[in-house]
Amino acid sequence: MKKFSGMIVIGLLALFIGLVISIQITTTQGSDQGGLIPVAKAQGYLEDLKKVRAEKDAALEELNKLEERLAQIEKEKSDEDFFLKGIVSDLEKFKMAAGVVDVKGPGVIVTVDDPLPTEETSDGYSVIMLRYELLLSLVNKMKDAGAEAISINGQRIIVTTEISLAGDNVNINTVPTAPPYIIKAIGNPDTIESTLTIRFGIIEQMKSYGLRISIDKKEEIQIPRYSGIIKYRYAEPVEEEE
Amino acid sequence: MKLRVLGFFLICLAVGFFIVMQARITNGQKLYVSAKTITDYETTILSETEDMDRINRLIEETGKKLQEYEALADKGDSDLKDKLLEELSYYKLISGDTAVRGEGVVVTVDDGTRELYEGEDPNTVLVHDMDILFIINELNRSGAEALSVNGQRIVNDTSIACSGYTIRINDQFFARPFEIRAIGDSKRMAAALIGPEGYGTLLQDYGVIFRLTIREDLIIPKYTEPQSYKYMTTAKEEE
Repeated sequence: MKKFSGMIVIGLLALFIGLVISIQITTTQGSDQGGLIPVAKAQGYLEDLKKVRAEKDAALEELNKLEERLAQIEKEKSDEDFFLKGIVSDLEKFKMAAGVVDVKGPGVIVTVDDPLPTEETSDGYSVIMLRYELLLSLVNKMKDAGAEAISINGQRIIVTTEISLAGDNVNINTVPTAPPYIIKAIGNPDTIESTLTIRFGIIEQMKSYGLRISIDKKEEIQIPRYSGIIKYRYAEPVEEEE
Repeated sequence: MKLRVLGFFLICLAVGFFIVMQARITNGQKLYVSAKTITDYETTILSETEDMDRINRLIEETGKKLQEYEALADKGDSDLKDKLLEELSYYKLISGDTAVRGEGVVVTVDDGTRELYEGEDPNTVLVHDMDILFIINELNRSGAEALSVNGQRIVNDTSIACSGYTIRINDQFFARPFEIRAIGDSKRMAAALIGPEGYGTLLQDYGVIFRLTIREDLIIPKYTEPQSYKYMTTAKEEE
């Protein structure tokens, strides 16, 4: 009996040592990226983000007020003059085509997020960022399905928009972005949704990388204007020869 | 015997304890977030700040324009008319409704003609819609201002779709070879595509025919379809 009790003690000790080692391993895993950060710190960032967003909203409001005033002048003058009225309505049309006005309409919202971090995959890198061509393809498919306006994380996609991996970030319209990616598209919601979710289509392809994706059809979504100033330095208009 | 039972009990207890501990640690995301979450937050904050800066610049610009308008509105209709016409040509220009000229590059891509290796997928030497998309994306990244593919002006909602043997652009069908024209900083655009890491070099390595020429002066036609929209309207709160 006595020799058995000795074995039990040793067994228990071995078990505890094993336990300690396994804890040690699980906590140091992935720490090469800076380790685990308490939630409280993350909440601080969330607060900062909220503050910046509020500031941005205030700036947007100011911009809207100025634009309203401009539109008012245009309207006042065009009511007097038939010719001016034509110009103003043309202006509206081309502004819309250039993507420099906020727009709304029915459409879909696609949310793309990185796969949940697991034991095996180190969570240091982002799948969707490395595979940013998926975003490029997704946007192209949306346009193919007749989307009229598209934005990714608030960045309006216009003709010269690039989606590029720059260092650790994916830049869209030269503004750095991070997941989760929220892609909004205005157009026929059913057509866009079916185009994306077709078998072996883009969504299935994205899901095969483990990305978490949700598609919502909406009655009305808003898409912001392109926030940059478009100025051509090389391209000059060609005089039209009839 | 009793001691043995007790020992067994203790081991069971320890194992149970161990399992609970392990489960708790792997679920520790409730207590801790990963470093990636923090960098994502940082990037998002950076992104919003940058966007705000751009909006502030827009405010400045719009403010200037407003002053100009107000001054012109007092003067008389003809001055304001000129200003509005100027505005109109600007928006026509940036929406692709005007043909443009300037320095730029012409990129020609075509299916490769080399012999395939045994068992090689023919797709490796064929041009796909993704290739065209990538080239356009690279050009945009290096500051292209206006683009066309096989004479079709690329506008905001232009898609490039592979449909069998042809590629559909602006609802018109085109077959190989593909000619992409871009106006902008020609040296920068050329460097981005034919540099050692460039997409053009990659395509050449696959055996796809890729040619790039720098042009002093090239013309890109205007978008010919009327740009009208069925679904979207301006988001201004209208009366």
